[in-house]
Amino acid sequence: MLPDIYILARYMQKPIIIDAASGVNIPDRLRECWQRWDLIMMLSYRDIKVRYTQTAIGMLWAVINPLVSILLLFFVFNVVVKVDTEGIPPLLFTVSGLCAWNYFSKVVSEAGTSIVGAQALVKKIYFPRLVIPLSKAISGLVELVVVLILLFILLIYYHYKVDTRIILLLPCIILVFFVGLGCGIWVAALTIRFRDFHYIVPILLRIGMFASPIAYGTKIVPHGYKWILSLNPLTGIIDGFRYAIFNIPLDYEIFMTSVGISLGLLISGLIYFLRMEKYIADIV
Amino acid sequence: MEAIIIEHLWKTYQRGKSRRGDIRQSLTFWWNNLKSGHEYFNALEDINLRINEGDVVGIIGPNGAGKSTLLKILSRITYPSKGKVTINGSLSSLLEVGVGFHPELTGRDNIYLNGAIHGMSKKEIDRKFESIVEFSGLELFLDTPVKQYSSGMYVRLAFSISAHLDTNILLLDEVLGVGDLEFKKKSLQKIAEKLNEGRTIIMVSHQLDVLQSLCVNGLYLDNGKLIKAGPIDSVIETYLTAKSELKNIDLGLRRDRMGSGKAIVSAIRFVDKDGKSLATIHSGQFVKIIVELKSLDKFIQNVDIRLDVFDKMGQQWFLLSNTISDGTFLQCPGEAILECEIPKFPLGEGHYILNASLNINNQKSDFIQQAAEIEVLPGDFYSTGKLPSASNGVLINYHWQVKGE
Repeated sequence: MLPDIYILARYMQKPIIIDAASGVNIPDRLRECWQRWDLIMMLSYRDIKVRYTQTAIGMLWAVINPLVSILLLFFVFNVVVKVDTEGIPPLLFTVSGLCAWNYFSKVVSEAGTSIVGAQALVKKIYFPRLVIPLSKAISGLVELVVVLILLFILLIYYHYKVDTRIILLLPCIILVFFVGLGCGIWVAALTIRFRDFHYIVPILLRIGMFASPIAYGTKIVPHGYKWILSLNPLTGIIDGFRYAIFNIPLDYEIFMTSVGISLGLLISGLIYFLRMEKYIADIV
Repeated sequence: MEAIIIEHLWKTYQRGKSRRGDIRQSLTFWWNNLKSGHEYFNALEDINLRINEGDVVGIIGPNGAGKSTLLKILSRITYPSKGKVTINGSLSSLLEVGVGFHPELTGRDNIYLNGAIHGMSKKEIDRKFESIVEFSGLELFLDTPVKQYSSGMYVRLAFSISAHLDTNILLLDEVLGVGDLEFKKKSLQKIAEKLNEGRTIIMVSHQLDVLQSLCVNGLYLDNGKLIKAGPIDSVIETYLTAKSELKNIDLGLRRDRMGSGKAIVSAIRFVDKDGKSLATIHSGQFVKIIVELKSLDKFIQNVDIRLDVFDKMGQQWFLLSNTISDGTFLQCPGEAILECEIPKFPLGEGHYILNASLNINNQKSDFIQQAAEIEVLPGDFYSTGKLPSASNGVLINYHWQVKGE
């Protein structure tokens, strides 16, 4: 048999040093996580397969879930209250807003409970713990794609023309991935210590669903309240989605605040999570 | 070269409470700590150790000695409180069989998932896939969800994956205790193969005979301290001597026990049919085992007592459990005396030990390893005047006859 290059490579790797006195080397931890990319993909694949093959109607649940939110919001804001949707067909407007929110809420609730849910694994085998919430953020992309497909069906139905600006959806998706992951790992790390977050998070998400401009636009919000709205990172991101799809002018102040808060949440979440990491098996 | 260097390693846990809980709990916990200071116990105390490359090390010691904690630190599942560990090379651990299997996924998917969890890349698993499947002998069940596997099949699949890990250090925790005999042999062979490849293996097992046959060196841990390190034979000897000294301590006063302590086993005695205490037992003799309980409560409910009988190599011979033979005792006095009658004692000549576990309301209340020892002398089990030999298994009642003309 040929010499196994995998074995050789492993023999030559630098020693693993576990030193109680040394601190957390965050770049090192992130690099190690990156090296386990195959594991992240396997875990995401597992989640998707288990989530959608176990039930009788499978993939349909991925459609029904956002559909219910869309109809609910549409009924309240576009049928009963009839908010100004800036010239866009109300249904289309609401769906465009739900893309980011649906993904965000899915990731926060799934990633948030992911470590506690994987405690049998975490107590028996080592791997960078960050891969667990990270894989949830990736498997959650299915939810985003489903709503995007709904959106494109509606765009065709309403004969709505999009231009090359649609390419800007990509950075917006990356942004919502970041903020979803950031909040997800914050919640995951906090839930390990305080199980209260099992109850706190659904409440916050319920508030967020109405506090985010999903079925209404930021334009109709009175000027004095705008700064509160801009603290919600989803506000700027949803505006970004609408800028890419409908060319609704972007309020840069709100957008940049959202970008800043998103990145801040991600970075602080990573730091907090990685500092907690070595205690996870002891306290989960 | 050393594969593993351990320097002044400590692992300390806070007694009683873990640090999780709701916020209120954590605040009161913090406040109590301010008032009274922490209460700690050391799972590992100042361990210093060098393990050479290619060494095969067996770790022995009673429950709660720190064996698993040591493996968990080496495999980086948990972090030391003090000290330093240097690991030269790559390390994989198999602390429990089938960790990370998802019951809904097929055998094929689980091979990939489990391989990835253990640190293999997808390419690497692709390359080894056939060999893994062949080793497990589960070709026909690859596309069946593992929830439909028997426990034997489950173990085979899990071990086959682990056996294909190409790390140069392997940690095993009590995993050889599972699986059917045939597969166990095959697995031991696979481990032996790995030994020939110069890999370092560290394993924990209660089966001293397995350790004796596989390991070169041994570590004896007790109460978090390293009592002895050296050639496996002499370590096992030290361990057995220390264990036999335990019997001189009054059972009720022993501290090497686990469980809530709501009620404890305070004494175990053996008497014959006239109620006379027995120092030794003859095969086939009538024996009554008397178990005395002690509790602060006046009455205890839902009592399950269980005695497990082992030989000194850790092989189990039988168990005595009221749960399966007579049903749970719904209510007993706190200072109950439980009696178990064995009409004909079924073991051959030898030295046996007895672990006792006591459950109250389905909660583990007390568990003591080696709560009692039994010295069995040859006896006339079959009333034929012929004495059965020592090591041919348990003695059962049977009858042979010739049929036909």
